[in-house]
Amino acid sequence: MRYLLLAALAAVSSVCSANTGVAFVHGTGSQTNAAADYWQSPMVNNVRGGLVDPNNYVVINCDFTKYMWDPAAAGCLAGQLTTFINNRGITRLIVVTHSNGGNVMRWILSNPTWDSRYPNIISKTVRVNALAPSSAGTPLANAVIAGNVFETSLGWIVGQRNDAVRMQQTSWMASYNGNWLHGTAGRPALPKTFRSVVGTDVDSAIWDGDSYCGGYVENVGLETTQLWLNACSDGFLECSSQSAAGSVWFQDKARMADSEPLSHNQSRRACFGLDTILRTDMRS
Amino acid sequence: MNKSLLFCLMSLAFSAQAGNLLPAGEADQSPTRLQSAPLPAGQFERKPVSFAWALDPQAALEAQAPYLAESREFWAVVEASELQAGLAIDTTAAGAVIRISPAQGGRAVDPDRVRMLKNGRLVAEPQTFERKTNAAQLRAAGMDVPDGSAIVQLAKQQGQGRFQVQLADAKGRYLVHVYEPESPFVLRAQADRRSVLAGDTLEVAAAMQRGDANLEMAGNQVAGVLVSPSGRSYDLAFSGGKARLQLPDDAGSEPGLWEVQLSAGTYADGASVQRDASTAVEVTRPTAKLAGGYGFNAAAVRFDLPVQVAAPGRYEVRGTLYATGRDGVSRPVAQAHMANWLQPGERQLALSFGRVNVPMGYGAPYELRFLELKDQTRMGTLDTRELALREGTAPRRGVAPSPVAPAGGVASRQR
Repeated sequence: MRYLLLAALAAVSSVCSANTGVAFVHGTGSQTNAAADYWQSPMVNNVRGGLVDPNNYVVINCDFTKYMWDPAAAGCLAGQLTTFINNRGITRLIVVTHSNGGNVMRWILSNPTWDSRYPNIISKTVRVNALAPSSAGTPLANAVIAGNVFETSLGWIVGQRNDAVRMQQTSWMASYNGNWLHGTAGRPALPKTFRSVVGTDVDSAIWDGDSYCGGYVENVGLETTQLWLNACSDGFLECSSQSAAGSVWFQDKARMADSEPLSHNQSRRACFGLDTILRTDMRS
Repeated sequence: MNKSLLFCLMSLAFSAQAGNLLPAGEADQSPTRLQSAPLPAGQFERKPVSFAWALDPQAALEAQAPYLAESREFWAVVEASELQAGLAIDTTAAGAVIRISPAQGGRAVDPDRVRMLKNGRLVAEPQTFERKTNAAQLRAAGMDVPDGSAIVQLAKQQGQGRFQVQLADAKGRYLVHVYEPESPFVLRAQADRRSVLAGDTLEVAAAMQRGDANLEMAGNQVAGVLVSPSGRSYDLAFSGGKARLQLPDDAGSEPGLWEVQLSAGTYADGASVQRDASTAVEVTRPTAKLAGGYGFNAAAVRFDLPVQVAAPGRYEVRGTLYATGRDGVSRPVAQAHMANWLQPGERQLALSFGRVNVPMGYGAPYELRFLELKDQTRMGTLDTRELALREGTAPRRGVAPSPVAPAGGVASRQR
């Protein structure tokens, strides 16, 4: 018992003496002001408010229309994380990702030899809180890219669909999960904790105020995209994809206020207490 | 025992040992020849980097099966005149979802202007659709549809059968995508490998199924192509539900995977059933291979791996260390990766697991499993061994041999 107490004290002591920081990593898309355009300030400010030093945060702005390993994607992420770690003297890094941002971060964790900056990032990282990560891709990417096969053959709108969407086809992610990425079933675990928050449903009833958190129009579209997905999905990703890598931290209805589900757009916003849960997590 | 004798014994125990990798098994990939390749455009890391971490021995690892594609959807390219007159589609279940996307320059689709006919009669509007969504709503939801696209879902009370999709103000060409989420008809397709070397043979299996039952499908009812990332395509000729294709030696080095794209059609219950499916395969030029030997340093738990390199680039070895527990069972305890820039010739990479990553109660005999040689510059998997080697002393007396280790001894010759 004495040893357990000592171990617990040591753990608490190491957290207290550490300089913890948080990085917000956006999903598919090219961002120049993700704090305002992707996460919005209530989410960023509430979460970083849980840090001992709330200024120890960075909102990543990279081009995640590219393949995850591209210099503009993982290379850009590695550069911004390295600068953040060095400038703020971060010794414990908590990474909050959304959607495809989880894949880009998992690329770094899975391929430590790809870039000499990766090992230091991995060693500073204590965990990744992956909000609705597209770890096994999405049938929606299959639907739009498969259509592109025909369009390409006719010379239509070649290249409109970006490489990140192409990469998130389910067959492509199966290939990358099997060949290059760690953390999925039967594969070696990632070197650091990667735990997901899983969105299980979409509410878009016009009379339900909860449908408006994160944007009503976005949630209306998610009701349609959900047709491509199985019964458990956040409108963009099936629960199985969100749960495919690492461990499941929690499913939305288990922790959100009034057991509300988190649609794919709501899982990056301050909806139903998600921001408060992440804020509390900054202290551990 | 005096100190010098102890030191001598320890030195012997920890000195580097040499051996040969086990032969490649059925599921492994191993180049039989090497080819040079130009360096792809881009900036690549040049510094040597190695990294290792501990694994949970209770988390079992397994080889990954190739992806099984399943499709309940098909696509068709149509002219505006067909949509104006009413494009005929056969559905096999209620609740079909129809996406219409205009070609570049074509007129955008307003979902409120899409009409459905059944048996030549217009379906009354309030009962036609369960759901209608425009491009802005779909894009906001993350579905990256082309400009001017629309999706409608047929109301379930309309049932299944032949419908005509009508768009009176259609102009130009359109892509019509029909998805039947509740259809029992599924096209399943699977390649025989996750990754293939240029010049090797790829086999693809395809079957149209109703539930779990295979539907008979003549060779001309399924067609397919293999498409490279640069857009080159190679026909897949099916016979008996399978197609084999020898890949070209010049695989190119464009980033991305090769795609198997299949279309299949059949008739059932008097209606046509169409399905399109695709899956992905990694194709790589054999630019390097494991030379076949290895050195082992027990003190550092490090494996030195000679590599034959035919093209300059950044190469990586990665592998999983299995160690034997007190119960005599071999389990995964650590993962190591190492990469470096290598010029053509006889080179070497090393996997250094480190003693610190071997948990208490685990030790020799060791196994190196899931060993892979990768070309990072060309994003390819070159050489794999599910079981690469066994190293270390025999199990302690009275302890059964490792249950996970397959039968067969260490290879007696250099591959």
